[in-house]
Amino acid sequence: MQPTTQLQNSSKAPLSTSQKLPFVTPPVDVLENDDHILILADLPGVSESDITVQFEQDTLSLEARLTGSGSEPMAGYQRKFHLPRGIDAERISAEVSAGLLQLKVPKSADQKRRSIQVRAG
Amino acid sequence: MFSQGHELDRFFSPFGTTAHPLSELFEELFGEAVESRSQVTPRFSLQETPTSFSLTASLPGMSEKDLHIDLHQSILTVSGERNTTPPEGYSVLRRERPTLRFTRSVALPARVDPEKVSATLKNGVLTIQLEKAQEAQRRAIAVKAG
Repeated sequence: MQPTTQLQNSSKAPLSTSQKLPFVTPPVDVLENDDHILILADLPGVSESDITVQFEQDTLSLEARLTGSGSEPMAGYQRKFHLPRGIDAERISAEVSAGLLQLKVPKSADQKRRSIQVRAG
Repeated sequence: MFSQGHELDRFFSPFGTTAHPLSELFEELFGEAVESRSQVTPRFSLQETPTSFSLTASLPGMSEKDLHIDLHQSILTVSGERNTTPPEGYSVLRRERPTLRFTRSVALPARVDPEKVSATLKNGVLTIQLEKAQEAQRRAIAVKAG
């Protein structure tokens, strides 16, 4: 696999307010385990400098810009996710490699599954 | 938590719908038909200039080792596989990304120079550049006054 690139939570302005571009909804897989929710999005043609991930009021939004062969943006990907309560927004991470974006949304400590011991009464 | 994907679904209709008609090239390359849990052939786009061809395909998450390109005379064949099996230990809330398993052959309309073919896979997009054979390259013919 190609090397991955870390993505910071960005504070860039969302694409949709700065430019009117045609956009497409990328297909996603949403998985979860005890520790986090994992969102995988197919964003072919996009590298990490083209992607904006923002989290605000329970909504995770994803925008990415496609530039094609020139430097002019041609179009974009866009999708929003309503995240459940009990996630740790400070630790959301994003990584992109070969046009595949992986968003990891950790669950907050009180949401993680824990076993509760049953004592004989 | 997500309940059978209903919470996600609620947000899919107001957001992420196309606001413009898509430009043809964009639609061709990136507007894949998405069917969950079925095999899909990725979109291919072939473009021609007077001296070359270029074939592009959208293959996100594909690695070079799963991709095979073959050129025989004027027939270019691209085959490959990209699975979307969830990693170990995860439960699935939503699956939209299709498994890609494909073999596509293109009969190029002009002879190409097999020494001048290159293929790159960048950000999940495959681009194959083929230079036309000398005799197949279009050239302007000068008109001389008689």
